[in-house]
Amino acid sequence: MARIIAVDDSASMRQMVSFTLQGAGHDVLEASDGMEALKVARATSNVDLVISDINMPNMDGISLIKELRRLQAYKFTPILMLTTESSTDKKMEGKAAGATGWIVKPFNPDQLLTTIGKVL
Amino acid sequence: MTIDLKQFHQVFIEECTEGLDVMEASLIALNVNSIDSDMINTIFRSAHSIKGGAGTFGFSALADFTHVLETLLDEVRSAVRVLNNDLVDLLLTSVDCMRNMLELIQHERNEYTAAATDVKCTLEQFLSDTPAVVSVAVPRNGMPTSDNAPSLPIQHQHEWHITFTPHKHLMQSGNDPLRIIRELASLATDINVTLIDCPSSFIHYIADECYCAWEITLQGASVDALAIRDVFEWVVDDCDLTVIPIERRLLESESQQAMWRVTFSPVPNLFQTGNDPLRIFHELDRACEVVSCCADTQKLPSLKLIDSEKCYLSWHLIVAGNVEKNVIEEVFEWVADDAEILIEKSLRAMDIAQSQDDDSVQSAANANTRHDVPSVLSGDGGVINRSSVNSKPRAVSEPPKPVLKKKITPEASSIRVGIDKVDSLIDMVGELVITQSMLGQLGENFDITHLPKLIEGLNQLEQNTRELQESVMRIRMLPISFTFSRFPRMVRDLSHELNKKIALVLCGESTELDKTVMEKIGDPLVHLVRNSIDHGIEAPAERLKSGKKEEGTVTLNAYHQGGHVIIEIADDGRGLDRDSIAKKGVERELLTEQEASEHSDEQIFNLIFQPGFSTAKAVSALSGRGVGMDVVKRNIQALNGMVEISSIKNEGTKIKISLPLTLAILDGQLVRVGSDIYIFPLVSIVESIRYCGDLVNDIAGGFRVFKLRDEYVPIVDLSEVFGGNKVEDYSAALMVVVECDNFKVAMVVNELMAQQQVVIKSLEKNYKRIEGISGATILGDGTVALIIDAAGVVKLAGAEKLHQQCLLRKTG
Repeated sequence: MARIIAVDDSASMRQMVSFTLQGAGHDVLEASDGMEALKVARATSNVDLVISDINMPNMDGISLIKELRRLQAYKFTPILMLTTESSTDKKMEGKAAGATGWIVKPFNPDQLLTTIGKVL
Repeated sequence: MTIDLKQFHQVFIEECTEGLDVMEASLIALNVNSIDSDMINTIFRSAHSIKGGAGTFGFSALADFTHVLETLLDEVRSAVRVLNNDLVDLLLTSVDCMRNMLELIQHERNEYTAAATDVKCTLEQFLSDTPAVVSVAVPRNGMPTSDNAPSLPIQHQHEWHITFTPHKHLMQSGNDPLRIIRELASLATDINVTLIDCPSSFIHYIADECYCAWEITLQGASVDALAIRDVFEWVVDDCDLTVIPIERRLLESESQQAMWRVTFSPVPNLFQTGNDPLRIFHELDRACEVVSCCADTQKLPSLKLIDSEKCYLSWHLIVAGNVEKNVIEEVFEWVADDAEILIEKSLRAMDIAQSQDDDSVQSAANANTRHDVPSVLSGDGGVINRSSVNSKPRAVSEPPKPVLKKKITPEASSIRVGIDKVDSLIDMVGELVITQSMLGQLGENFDITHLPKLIEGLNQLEQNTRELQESVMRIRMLPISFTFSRFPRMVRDLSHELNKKIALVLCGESTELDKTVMEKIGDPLVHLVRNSIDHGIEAPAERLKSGKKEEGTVTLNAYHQGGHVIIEIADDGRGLDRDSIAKKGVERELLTEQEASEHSDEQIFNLIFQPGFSTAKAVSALSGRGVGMDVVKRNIQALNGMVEISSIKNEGTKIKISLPLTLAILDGQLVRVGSDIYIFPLVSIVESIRYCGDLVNDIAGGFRVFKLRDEYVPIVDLSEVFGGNKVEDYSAALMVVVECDNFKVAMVVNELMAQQQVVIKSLEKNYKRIEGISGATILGDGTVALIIDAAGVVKLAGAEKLHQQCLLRKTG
């Protein structure tokens, strides 16, 4: 069981992600954009994984990753981006910002679990 | 683990609808000449989310469609493609298509609409016209282009040799070589991991950075190069990686060097001597080549017992180089007494690696920071079929399902309430509880001295109740902008279609209206706005000829009046043609020639609400078939609303819809007329004055007017209007001056009573519609009081004529 922060502005995606993760026994915290995620991240300790969308209002995923990496507690925490196949440069941008890896949308719950298995 | 994705469908659909609304609104607001990048981003983000969701939840058709759209938007966003009006139109059409596809999705149908197929082709054509600026690598076939690595021929080898040299910053992305190796191990039936590189200089060692490199030999029945590369997918740019089938490697490795196997097991107090194993290893590396360095963590106690100053680890090193044993011994000279050192010669690296204690190997780089022992490295794990995991998801095209019977429309079942409304509700309830407990306490041993306290408490209770009621009401109320928001798009499309220039003005968008009423008024409004644009507003040339601005204006205005919400649709077009309407009416035998000439404008105009009535010479795609106005009127009447038309030739037409505010609370002025109590909506009252005989004049027709400053105001005797006795003695009477339809009327009442908030109960629902009365309420003592509809009363009293006479008097 791991503590995971799931960040996505789309409620359906967020619900799907957190439902899947909770179903696998994880403790999931949700946030709807980077700002909120950062708040959640600051207020939470022992986070094992952050899964974040890229395109979000207020603060996008890339900025979130940069901000998180600046926090001592998140220096090495795996951060996965949710990307679509069309955003190759975003992937690279995310990497540069400090993302650990990515999950390509669309994905199904099993793919999600397999992927996070790589970092948990 | 199987998860039924259907449970997320409804949320997804709602979200998509919102996203589409956002896209549409932004597209309309977009000014092609000065593009707001925020807006483009918003549009892109919406499309992006829809695509992501659609793909995830198995609606491949919508996902595909949106993908093309998104690609186009991305080009716009990155300024590769210039946005022009044509493109905006295309995008808007795309939004429509998505809406239609979403509707299909509601019925669990994952398919293209005919229009969507066409639009997708157009979009693709658009995309294939290479934009003038730069060509961007936009993946067209949905395949990721992330694999920058040279493509390897797919080979099914049983054994692979991998060298993995992470760049220093690899760990800063949250990646962990250990995890990667562990994953690799899960592919294989057998794996050997050896550390081949150590920090070059420990003096400049930074704990955040990765200085190690690994050599991995991997055995597995169905492992191919792609599967291995997949494991390294996230770090492929952050490391040097070679993946070679082992046979080839053996051919490549020309000469075998002499190998030394060194086991170094220091005593726990090693650090206290100032010695550092890492430094020693580094020195060893200078003397010869350290091929691998593995820490043995067997003696590592649990974290609680660990003493950070003690050394619990021992290391297995493999050293290559044609050196003598004493060279190696020399390196360990200073710690020879503090450690058990074993140095053996071996010829084949493979033998050494395999003979190591697999269960406890761990890379030196991680030994001091991580204490989890990766037992998976032992490599006895089964082979996971990687292709089933990382294969690109194929477009899942579900067989089309038959259209389900239309469910209850989702908007009827749920309501979206702002947090502030709910919060205020909770606040109110809290207050109410406090007041209740205060009154309860008071009642326990009450005597007359507590009366002021009681009154105070009751006042408090009254306020709480009122506020609570208001809050509850507000939950059902939505700003009319929900309905108005669809018009900018509509007007834009229609003006294009009809080649007219039309500006839409929206006023009073924040006017709140009950949700049910709002949902039902949408269609009639659409119809009326269409009429205004099609029939009302003239073509630009015609407008210029008649001395008007080229651009026509359609105004939608909403406001509260009394217990009603008024929605006005006004245009500055040609206005209704009384004569041709009258003529048509006579033709259709709806009225006689004589009536046609005698009727008021309004009566004539009302003919257009007759079924099948149309004066349009040509039937257009939009309107002119004479179907509609009657339906509009019926719909509005079904809502207990009223619709009125006023029109001036060549100046425009105004249609006024008044709708009841169901359940609304009204600030009312109680008045007594004879023995009955009536309520005036407080907002309609201009002033109240004492009746003053000197200022009253009788005029022809038995009416009287009152001179209010320099205005003549007709007097209406309420008791007379409502069938009571005419007030004989006016000296004690009061007059309530109300404003309705832009003129004032003074209503005679016997007494002004309290002002209070009243809950409007519908008379139509409980009894029947009565002219002059907009509703009823129940007073504190249980009696029913009627709420006066000033405009209705004026009509009832025939005071419109009065008004005209007043105007005459004023001017004359």
